[in-house]
Amino acid sequence: MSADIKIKQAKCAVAFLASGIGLLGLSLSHMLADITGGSGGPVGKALTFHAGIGPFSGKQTVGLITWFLAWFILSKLFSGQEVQERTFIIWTVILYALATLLVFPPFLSLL
Amino acid sequence: MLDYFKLIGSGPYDFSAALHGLFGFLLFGVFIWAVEAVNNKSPEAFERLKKGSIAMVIFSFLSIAYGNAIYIAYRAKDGVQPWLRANDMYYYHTLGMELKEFIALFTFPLAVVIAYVVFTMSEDWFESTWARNTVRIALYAAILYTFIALGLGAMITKAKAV
Repeated sequence: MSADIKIKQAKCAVAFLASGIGLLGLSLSHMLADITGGSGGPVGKALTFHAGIGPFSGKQTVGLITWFLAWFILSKLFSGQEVQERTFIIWTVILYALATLLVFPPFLSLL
Repeated sequence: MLDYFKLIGSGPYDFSAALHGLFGFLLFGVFIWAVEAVNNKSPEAFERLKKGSIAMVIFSFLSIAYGNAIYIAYRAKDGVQPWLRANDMYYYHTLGMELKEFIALFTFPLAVVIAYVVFTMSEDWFESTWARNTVRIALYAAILYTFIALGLGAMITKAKAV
């Protein structure tokens, strides 16, 4: 396999990992709001960027910012480099699984 | 003749709700359809996959955007959320909506990354088994997330529409 393909694959692996980090940011903001009193708690109120949508508006914004920031930083860090794609994908799967768990209401109620 | 108002409803949010569901359903269809395009190793299938990946991003964005619009009505004083609480069906919100609203969001980064991989690999798509396998796994995850979001959305709408 050519070095050009390996570098393209590295860019793709970085994109996958960044999406996982973004979703973790989203789910962590939800978890923090949930365990501190929900929409009426301090975190919930701070995340209420739109009165109609409530804290969900802030959680989405946190997720988006985390995702794009992670993508930008990781792209700079691994620019022009070959990476272990498998490791990146394993971490992405772990992050997606963790994010799914953190937005699963029965799990949150245990915290 | 098809009775538009019987099908869609005549409330202020009914059209937005219908579009939210429609784009979600189209997204689900495109994700499934894309699996075939990934498995098929012909250049024509790859061209279909390119178009499909753009459609994924658009449908996911529109479904989420309309979802946000009707979420305002859902949370309103006379909306679905207070109605579920008053009718002893609040678990529809605490289990259904609380999970659905986030799971639905997961489809957007997946759709964007799938499109990014497809266009980045471009002419090297057939040379990279890694890229094809990774996109296939991402599509399976996206299908699962969309299915859960659609199912829970339908369940809540069945109880009470916005």
